[in-house]
Amino acid sequence: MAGFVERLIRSGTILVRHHAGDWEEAVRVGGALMVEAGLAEDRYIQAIIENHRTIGPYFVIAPGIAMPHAKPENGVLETGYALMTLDEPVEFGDEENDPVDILIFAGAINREEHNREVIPQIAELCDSDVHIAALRAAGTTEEMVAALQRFEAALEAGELD
Amino acid sequence: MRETTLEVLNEEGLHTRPANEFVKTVKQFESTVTLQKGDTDVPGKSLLKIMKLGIVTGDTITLRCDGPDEDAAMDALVRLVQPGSPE
Repeated sequence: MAGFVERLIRSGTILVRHHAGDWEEAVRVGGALMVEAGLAEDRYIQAIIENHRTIGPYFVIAPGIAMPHAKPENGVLETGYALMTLDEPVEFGDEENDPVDILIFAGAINREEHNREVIPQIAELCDSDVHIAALRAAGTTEEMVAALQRFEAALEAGELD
Repeated sequence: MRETTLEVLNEEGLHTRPANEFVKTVKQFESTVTLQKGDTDVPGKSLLKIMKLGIVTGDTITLRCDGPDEDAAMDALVRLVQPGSPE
């Protein structure tokens, strides 16, 4: 299966230093990247917002990083990702990891693939301070793509701990 | 020290939400918890490191709890990983 970075670059679902007024706006804008790329239907975005309201901000996974995602049956059309950074961080209501300025949207067409392939790759990225700092430092889409490619090279070379 | 090897029966495996619940549960206890899948052993309070393991339903994992409340911690974690199992 194609990796996280390859799929992200191929689908063009990257938005750098966007301004969002609150978490919901951030999720709507980032989710729209998934929809425009044909990776998800509108109801994918709605499912993420509903989940946040009913279950809470469980998808805020590390300091400053959220991974909005929805179950395959909630409008995911194709396995894929979107990456958005914010010019100003927003609060998701997660005491430990707020405020958030990196959003990694994920969708997988089946649960097994989601858990075994998608999640571990994103966790590798989020667990690497150096590469997360590079994502935050990227000011343009080109710089973001370059930062992602450096992460992928390090991942493939086994240089991440 | 308590050690239990068990099959993950939670129908969603241990992806973000269940893994988050797992970590929150670990943090309620004083005991040190580790979770092992294959040859990889990770701290039970690290969400990212658990997510890296890519645990799906049907995988076999080993839980280790070590500390003053290790029995209660193990019971709570087993209930998360095997919902519906006898208490």
